[in-house]
Amino acid sequence: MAVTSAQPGIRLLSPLAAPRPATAKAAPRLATLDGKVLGLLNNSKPNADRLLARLHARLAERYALAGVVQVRKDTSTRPAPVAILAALAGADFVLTAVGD
Amino acid sequence: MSVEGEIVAPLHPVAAIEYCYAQGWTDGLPVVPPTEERVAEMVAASGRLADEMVGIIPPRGGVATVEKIAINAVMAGCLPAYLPILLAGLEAMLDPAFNLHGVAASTKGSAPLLIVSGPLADALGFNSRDGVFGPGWRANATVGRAVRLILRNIGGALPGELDRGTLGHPGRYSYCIAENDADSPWEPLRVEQGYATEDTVVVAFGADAPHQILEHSRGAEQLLETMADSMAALGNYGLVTRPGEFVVVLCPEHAAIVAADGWSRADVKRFLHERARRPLHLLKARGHVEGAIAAGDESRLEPITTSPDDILLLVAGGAGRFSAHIPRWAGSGVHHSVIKPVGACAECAI
Repeated sequence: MAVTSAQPGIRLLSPLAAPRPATAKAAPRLATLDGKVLGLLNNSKPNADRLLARLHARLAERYALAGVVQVRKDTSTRPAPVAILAALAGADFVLTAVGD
Repeated sequence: MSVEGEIVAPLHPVAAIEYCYAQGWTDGLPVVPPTEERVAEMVAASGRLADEMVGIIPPRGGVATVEKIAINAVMAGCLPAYLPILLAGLEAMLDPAFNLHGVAASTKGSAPLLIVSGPLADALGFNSRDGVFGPGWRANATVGRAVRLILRNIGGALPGELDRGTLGHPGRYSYCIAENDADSPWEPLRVEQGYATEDTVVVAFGADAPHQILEHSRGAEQLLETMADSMAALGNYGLVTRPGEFVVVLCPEHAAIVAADGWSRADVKRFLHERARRPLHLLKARGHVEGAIAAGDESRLEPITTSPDDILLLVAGGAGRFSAHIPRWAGSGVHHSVIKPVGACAECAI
């Protein structure tokens, strides 16, 4: 809807701002879940524990998981603190869930 | 999405406003087209450089420079003199303890409430009296509105997208009040918080809408019992999951009744902390507090605040006997109000 140069116009400044460029990259996809350690990150929302437990059971039926690391954030509204990320470092893949 | 540089819009004022609508820049109401000249004037009033970064605005993480804030303030209708108030409010909102991401994006649909306390409030025309939460005063209306435009345009908090508020509330258009020092029987909020009477501060609080109480009783205890009962209603944000803060706004007539009975600020806060409670079994039965109902839960009263200091008490409003409480967005450890003095930035010369 910007006017063409032939029309008179007023010059406005955009109120929008670009987000900071992302620095994180996606991890390479695992070829199989057999022999891998599953991480479960409960975000502390009600029922997240149930949802994750069901997912864990279903995955364990289909794959020979090497183990599971289960951690729970204190609040869903903040990023996982360093201690929780450190605990998850032992996992090959991580599931997180909102159970609301 | 054009984020940088100049944009040429139609010259006719109405067409320029329509142009801003078409870009998705507005909160649904018309905005003042942000021309270079108006923005430059706004930046100059900040005493800061246009490209100075103020912070990263969630949820999308947009970079808020002084100029981007000024552009949104122009659109909201702010006068340049308001900018130091807006900047103090933003600095409060950007404090990690505030958790602006949650306030901006959560399904609870809360809004940042700004409380201006100090002599600049009167000097700049902020309303602290009749209809304090309502329309009619440019300073309150436009500073509060600028917060919303900044969250929308810089932070990308678009309803149904990154802003997941289920209902939201009208304070999401604008939510800025001032403390009524003149009609308060107690020291102002800023003095209680350790600032001088001559300072001006801005308190930012992640807030539900104001919940009003009507109370014509003549005694402090009865009046505050009514307030405590309303604060502890089932389903109130404050009673779900964990205790935390509450804003309590007493109108001048209510404050006078309470003070005439000899109650100090601290007395009011202690009373509300002790009385705004509900039996634990009711909360557990609804999943508002986690855990199975245990013996004794029926007589165990769950507090809505962690301590009397969690109650931010101020006097505001005009004649009449209506006060209000404002539940927090989230409780202790997740969200906390933040207070910032206006003009505290030594480099900014404001």
